Amino acid sequence: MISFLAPWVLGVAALAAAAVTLLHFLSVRRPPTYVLPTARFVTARDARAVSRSARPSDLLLLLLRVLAVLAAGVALAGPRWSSSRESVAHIVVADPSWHGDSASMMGRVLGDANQSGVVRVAWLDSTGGMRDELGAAIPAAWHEAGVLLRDVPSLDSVALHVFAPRGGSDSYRGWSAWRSGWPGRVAVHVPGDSAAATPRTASTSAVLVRERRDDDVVRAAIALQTGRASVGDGADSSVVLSGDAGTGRVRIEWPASGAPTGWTARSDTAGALVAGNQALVQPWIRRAAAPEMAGLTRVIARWGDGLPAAVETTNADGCLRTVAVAVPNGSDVLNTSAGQAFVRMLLAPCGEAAGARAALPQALLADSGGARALATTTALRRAFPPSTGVVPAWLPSVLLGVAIALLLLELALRSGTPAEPERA
Amino acid sequence: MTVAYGPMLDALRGVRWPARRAVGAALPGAHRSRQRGTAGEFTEYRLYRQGDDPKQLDWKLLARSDRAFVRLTDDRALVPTWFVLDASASMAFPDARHLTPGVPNKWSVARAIAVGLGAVAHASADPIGVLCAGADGTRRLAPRTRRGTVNDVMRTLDEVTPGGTASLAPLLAPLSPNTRVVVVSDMLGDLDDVLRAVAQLTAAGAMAEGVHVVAAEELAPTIGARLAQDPEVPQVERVIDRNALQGYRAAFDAFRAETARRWRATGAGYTEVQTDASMPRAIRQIVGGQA
Repeated sequence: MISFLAPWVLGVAALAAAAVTLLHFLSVRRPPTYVLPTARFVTARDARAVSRSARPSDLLLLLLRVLAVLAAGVALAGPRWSSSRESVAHIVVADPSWHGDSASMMGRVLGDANQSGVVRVAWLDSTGGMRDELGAAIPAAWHEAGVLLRDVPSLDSVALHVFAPRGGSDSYRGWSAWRSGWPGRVAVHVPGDSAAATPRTASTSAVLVRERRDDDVVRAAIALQTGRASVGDGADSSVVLSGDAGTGRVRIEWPASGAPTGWTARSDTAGALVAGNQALVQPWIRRAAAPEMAGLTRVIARWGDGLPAAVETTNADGCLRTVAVAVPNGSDVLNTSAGQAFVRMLLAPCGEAAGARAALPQALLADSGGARALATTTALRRAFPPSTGVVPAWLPSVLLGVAIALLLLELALRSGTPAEPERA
Repeated sequence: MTVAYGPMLDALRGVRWPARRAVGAALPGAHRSRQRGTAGEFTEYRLYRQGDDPKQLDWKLLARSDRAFVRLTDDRALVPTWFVLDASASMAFPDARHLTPGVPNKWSVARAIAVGLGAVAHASADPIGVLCAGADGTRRLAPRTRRGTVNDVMRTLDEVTPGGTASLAPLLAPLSPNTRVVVVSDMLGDLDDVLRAVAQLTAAGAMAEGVHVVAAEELAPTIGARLAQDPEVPQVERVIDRNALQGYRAAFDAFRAETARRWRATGAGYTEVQTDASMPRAIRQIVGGQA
């Protein structure tokens, strides 16, 4: 299937071809002769006149000229050839919490009819992605739309699917502003139980606490939340929770002293620990600095100055929550309501940490009701600068070469044909 | 006879074509002779001289005046008239396809003029002869005065088909100065040679008349993007259209005026006859020298 960057050039080429054809119905020929003995008294000049004829002259030359004009017109119109016949493409912007649910995600995109189509999936990072602001999905969708317009020029329209993070997003305030820029329908998909007013604790079969003293306040706080006595083996300073296969295994690394694995040691203080909508305010001593966040790692708790205090990294088993909060022994900060909420957050199933998030507003879901049409490629292209990408890149050169060859052949034919006595 | 000249000849009955000047020694005829004699019309008296014929004495005057006078009269002589016709290809214009209804072509007009003038001259007992240069060569009918000569002229000219590019000047060279020569042509051939030959004839005492035949279609050619071709010079091809018409007319008018001047400069008479003119009237103009 072929489309053009500048279709109007084709119109100009068609007009030029029509004009060439019309000219071939006019023939420059010698006028008919008649005898006039006093012809010598007429001023001598070019003895040719233009006349109309019912049939076009020089059909072969006409064909060569028309083909050359059309070939040049197609070349200059910016052809984009696509072997794909897809007219609708799907852009999926998904939160990493959907990694383990890709099958159902694609099912929602392509529908029960098991349709096929072009699907581009953009996985947003846990940090800075939809987890912080749901509206971050729209810029990602625009990026993917640009790639689609370039690679699949035959597209008519684009369907956008946004898979919201499990457990909701920290903010939905930017959604309206970003959403208004997308020229079509947006289908927002939510997990079945994504809205949670309070975090659930992971269902654990055992709690293993390593190298923590029996009177460790962390062990006590965890035991208080899980209702299970923890078991210590002294191997490392971590708390291991074995979760259900359905929610994924939650492992918490919460060293009693020093920096967690991968973190760098530091020593300063912070005034507050913020997790979700809870804040633990007291003079904290920070003993570690978080590494670069990458891939499936996201911040689940921050110090008052915004530095990460605890992060969650998704892995094949479930997730690893690394906590760099040194709770002084004997402190009862974890027994406060905020502290208990902090612990509950750490014990929540994978993807549901960072406390209670606001539920996805119904208005966002209502957008996916299908009231608006899919975004057309025409509307999408207006947002991008004029594309100079001709597909394939060699096609205009070949077409121009063909046009030049046709014109040279026409010139050779015209030069080689002897002048007819009646036609010029 | 394929062409009916009857009405024209009837219209020319009684027309006389006197010589414009006294002719030289010739057989007695209708034209004033340069010689003075005792026959013919009385002109003057002369005293009787020794040797005069006493029969010429005017006895009545002698009785009245007691003096002997002889009556003198002008002699009349005949003038052989040659009609030299141009039968080149240009005289066939316009051809049958482009002929205006009721208007003959130039050759038909030339024939009519020759027949008409011939009839007028023959009525005055002048011998008439024809020389014609055409596609088939030269036709010659020696001057004669016998009855039926005009029919001979008609028959001779009817057999001629205009064509080719034959010259007229060679036909004029052998003619006698004691003749009247009428050249009927469209003047588009060897005009310079013809005028030179005519000048020699007139200088030698001959009388010459030039009849310039002009086709009405040459004066007002058909306008249109067409290529006009000279039938005698095929290389001459001109596009004649609305833009070129004015220049053409000016050039052709200048040519005709110059031709008239040159003919008269040779001492010959000149008459332009257009193909749409009345033949009897044109012939009267020629014989009257009014052109």
